[in-house]
Amino acid sequence: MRAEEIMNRRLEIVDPNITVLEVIEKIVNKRIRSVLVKLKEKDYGVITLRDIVYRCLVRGIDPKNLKAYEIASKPLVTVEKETSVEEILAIMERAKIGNVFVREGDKILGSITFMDVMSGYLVSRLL
Amino acid sequence: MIELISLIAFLLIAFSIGSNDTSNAFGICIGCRILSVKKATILLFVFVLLGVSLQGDRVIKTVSHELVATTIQISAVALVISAVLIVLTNLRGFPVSTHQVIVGSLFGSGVAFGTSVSFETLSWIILSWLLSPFISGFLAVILFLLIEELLKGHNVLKAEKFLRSLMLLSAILIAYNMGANELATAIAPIAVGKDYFFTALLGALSTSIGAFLLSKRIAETLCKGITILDPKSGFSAHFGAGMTVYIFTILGMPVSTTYSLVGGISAVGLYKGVKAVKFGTLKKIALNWIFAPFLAFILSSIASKLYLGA
Amino acid sequence: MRAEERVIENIRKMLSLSLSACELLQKAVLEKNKMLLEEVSRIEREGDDLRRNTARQIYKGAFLPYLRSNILRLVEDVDDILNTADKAGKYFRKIENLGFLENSIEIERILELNILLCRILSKNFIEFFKNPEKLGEAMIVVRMLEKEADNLKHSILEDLRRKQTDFWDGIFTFNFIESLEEISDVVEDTMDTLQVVVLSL
Repeated sequence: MRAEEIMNRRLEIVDPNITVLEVIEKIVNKRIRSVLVKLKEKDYGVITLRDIVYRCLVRGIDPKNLKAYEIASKPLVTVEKETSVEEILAIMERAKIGNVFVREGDKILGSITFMDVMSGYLVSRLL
Repeated sequence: MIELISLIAFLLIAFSIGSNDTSNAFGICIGCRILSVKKATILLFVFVLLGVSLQGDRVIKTVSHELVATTIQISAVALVISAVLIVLTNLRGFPVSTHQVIVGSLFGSGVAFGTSVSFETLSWIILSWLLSPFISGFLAVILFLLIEELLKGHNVLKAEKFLRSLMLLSAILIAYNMGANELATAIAPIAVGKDYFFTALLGALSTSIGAFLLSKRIAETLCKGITILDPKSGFSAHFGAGMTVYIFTILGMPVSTTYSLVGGISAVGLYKGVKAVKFGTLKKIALNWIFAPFLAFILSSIASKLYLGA
Repeated sequence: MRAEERVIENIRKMLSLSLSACELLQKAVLEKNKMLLEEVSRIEREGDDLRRNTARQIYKGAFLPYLRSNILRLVEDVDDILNTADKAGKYFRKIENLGFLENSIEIERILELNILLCRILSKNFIEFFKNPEKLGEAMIVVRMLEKEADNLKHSILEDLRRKQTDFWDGIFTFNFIESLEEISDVVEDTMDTLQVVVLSL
């Protein structure tokens, strides 16, 4: 299996100046697990639940008073769309992350989480 | 003349055996549409005839030789009384066991005519009646466990195919028993010591006609009890009853398939924790047990006395 | 062929029809080609014929009684996949402004998920009867994919409510999205019924 076969093509891109509370609202309403923060042209950071919890809530900071760019992780860990799942898993293991992005040139096509890997494996067993 | 009356009475009994007890054999198969009524009737005819011709002699010997040393007159009175009782109770929608009625009335007229009657054989027969539902219940549970083990890990489609064949087999066994045990009991008074094939053929024909004409009733009655069970338990109860009656046939004892079935259904139901037979049904059967043979005995005695007095 | 085999074969055929219907629905929506949806309706009618034929087989005595009601329910569930695909197509045909489709990766994904679900079901249908463990595994996958479709639907509706649109277009778009997602729901129901059938006895 290659990256583009199992990736999730839904990318939610948000403005860097929205508040963390708005990010949370987006994640809840759209039932997603992370959002991309557009920092500059073709320069993105990512906010996952982990960032929201560790960089904001646990520190007692009011999510209304914190901007998205302040808690975004960067740079994005990206792989080419032809990358094999094995390689992706090795990258995730090394970087201790649960979310990598798939790119074609400098364009981001989608993201891959453990959920996508698991789903890909399970579906391929049935087809 | 007297022989003709006996024959007619026998054929009437055979007819009601067909209309009442065919459901024991083919009720499930017809209900499940494994067989059409027409095919079931043909199978019934073939296997009833086979049963009575091949293995009917044992029951015949017990009933009209060991139990009562019959004469033409005794047979005639007993058969006529039996036929009247069976037909009347059928019309009232309260069918009684053919075996019990015939045994009761034969014994009654035997005693009235003062011929030699064997209380020992009578005890054996009554013991068989008492034991058969329990043996059937025991066999049914064993069969159920066996089938459960056999079908484990098989897919539902294969299991279904297998169960269908088993149900047909079981139906055929019971049809065979209907000949070898039930019809044999009815034919006994006129068949003992003779080549009875032609009489048996007429009897089997009458049974099949009875089954076909009253086929609406076939899928009813007891089979309702079976169909509320799942097919595995239903089959076990059915085949357990078939085996039980067959065993008693070999022993020459006239026993009722219906009661064996009740035994089988209750036992499997009990084992699975389902109340498959209603208390009302059991009460009805218990009443039947006391009522039918005694009534037959008394009526037959009176009729014999009247005949002798005439 | 035995009556039971005919019934199973009919259901398998209905399942491959539902796969075709979902593929056509995807093509029609992505290419905005409403003509293709006529074909979805035709497939739905073909499915109806198969359903009727199957019900007749069952009435005539295919399967033992304890299985019949569940098999019939299975047939109706599969038929419902086709009906729902057709319903989605019919709503789509009524939408005049297809602007909501622009860049909607989410709608594309639901279309894809429906195809995936129908493919899993139709490809493994016969196998599921022989191998209940595989069915169990497939049920987990189907539930997972259905949940994804459900999440996507909520996300799409969340976006839609921010858009200005003509009243009727709004209604038809809403119903289209609902029906599209309902397909995955019905596939899940079908799997549940299938499990009841396979594990009965």
